[in-house]
Amino acid sequence: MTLSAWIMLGLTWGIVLFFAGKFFLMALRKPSSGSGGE
Amino acid sequence: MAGNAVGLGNFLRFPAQAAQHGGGAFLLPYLVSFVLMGIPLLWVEWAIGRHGGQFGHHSPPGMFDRLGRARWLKYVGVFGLFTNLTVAAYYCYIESWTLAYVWHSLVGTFQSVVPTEFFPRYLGMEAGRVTAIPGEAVWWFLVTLGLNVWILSRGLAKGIEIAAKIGMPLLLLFAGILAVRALTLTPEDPGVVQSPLVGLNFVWQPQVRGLVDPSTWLAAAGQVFFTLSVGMGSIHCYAAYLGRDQDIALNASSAGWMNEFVEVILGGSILIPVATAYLGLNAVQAATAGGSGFGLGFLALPALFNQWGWFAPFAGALWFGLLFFAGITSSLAMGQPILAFLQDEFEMQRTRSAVAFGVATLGLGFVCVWLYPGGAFDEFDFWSGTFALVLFALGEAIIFAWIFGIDRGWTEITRGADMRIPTVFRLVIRYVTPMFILTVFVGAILKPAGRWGDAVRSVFAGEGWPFAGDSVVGKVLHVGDRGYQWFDASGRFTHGFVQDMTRFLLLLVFLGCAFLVWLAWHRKTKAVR
Repeated sequence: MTLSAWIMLGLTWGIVLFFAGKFFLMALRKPSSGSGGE
Repeated sequence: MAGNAVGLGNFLRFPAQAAQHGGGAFLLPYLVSFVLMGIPLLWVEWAIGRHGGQFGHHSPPGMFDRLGRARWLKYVGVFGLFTNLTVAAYYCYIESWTLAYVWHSLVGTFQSVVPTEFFPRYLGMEAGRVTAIPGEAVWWFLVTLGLNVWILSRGLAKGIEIAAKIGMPLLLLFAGILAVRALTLTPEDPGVVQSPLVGLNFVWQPQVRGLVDPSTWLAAAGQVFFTLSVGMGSIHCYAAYLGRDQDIALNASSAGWMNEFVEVILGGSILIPVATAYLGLNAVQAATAGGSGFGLGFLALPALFNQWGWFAPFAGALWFGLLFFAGITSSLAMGQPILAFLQDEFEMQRTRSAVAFGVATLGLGFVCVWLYPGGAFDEFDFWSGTFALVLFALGEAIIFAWIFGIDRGWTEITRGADMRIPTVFRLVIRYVTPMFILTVFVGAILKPAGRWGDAVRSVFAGEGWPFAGDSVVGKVLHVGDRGYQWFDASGRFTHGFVQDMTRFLLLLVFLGCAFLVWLAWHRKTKAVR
């Protein structure tokens, strides 16, 4: 892997992990976040 | 909802698209498209769905009818029926391949049969033929469709939610195991010809030239569309079951970013690294040249798993099981709007409406199976699974921001929100998102063969615009179809005939859906009188 590929991978994974983790944890903490059911 | 978004494209389409459109440079337009078009569209669709649900509408026609006074608005919602029905037809067929491959992996078929020969035979592909009734493929298609109908008939809570609750964790587990195994392969392992990191480099190496190429931006925006399942009507349907003040902002954001996690981190770490390790980079580059990883996924990976000794049957079952779970959570989401439409507008019982969906999907799916060699499947994929999505999304973005109105729209999105949405997104939803989708739409219509700059130069040189074969205009005009005709010299119908008849069928399905919408509203008006 070249350095530029590692940098792109690191940056993108970092952004995705940060936001996916942040919203996932927020949704877990909020009881109203979830489907209403039929 | 994340189960709906996570589909086969996360594992098969994304890595091939990224590799073919600038590698790491693809990710910049991809993330920009996700933030400026994907996430806003998710909020818009959730808002339209929850708003419609308050009036007892759980399918797009009724929801769009409630966005304004104009009578034509409900017909925009026809796309939400048409797309789900026709995409479900061919999507269930792909889903059935994955189920069949789970079986064949477990019983060791690929240890004695070469996968590159197995797959075309399974589909009934023979040179010169445009029709096929492949017995085994039909059987697995019926099993898959039956499973979908059975789960749908059990309803949201007992059916789809349970399927997603089982399917999603299994999918993450399967994908995690395969990603770790893929990236820890070393040249010392039997059969490995190159480090999997060479494949990873192929996906991530930024080619700066790609950033200034409009094709890269169009491909990135297109991938965001497909991966989030926006422009279909499924998201609207799920959101319609939420209460008036239940959060949609955080739900949509977490589902969208969870999909990105599965796609970018897991999806980008399995297919191409494994294939590169065993086939070498040149073969992988050739196999993904069209921007699809389907060839590698079904043709090459079973053979590669064979190198893994006792783990081979399990690896195959894991990979195709993963694809099956990704697929079924998406196909169930496609069925629900159809069921909701029949239940809401025609007072049909849930089981009956599930059977009606099954029968319609079987009929349309049979066309995909029977005429697969003639190209019917690809026509469904292009017109329903690509073109109609963009058209519907463009319509809903404009209607939401400009007819329903951004003031009411913003209130709808932010009411009961469990997170604060930056106010700048109000402007994004009003101006940027519709323009973004319009650009994708026009790009899909005019996509040139070769580079955009060369196409412009061609116009100035008086040689006209060189439409690509996979542009909308190119498809309509059969650009690149040499000797296009309906019948060959011996009077048998050709690929061109199958393509045109499939388009005619899709048009009839659209008109049929529109007629049902008209009938439903006509009955209501009569009942009121």
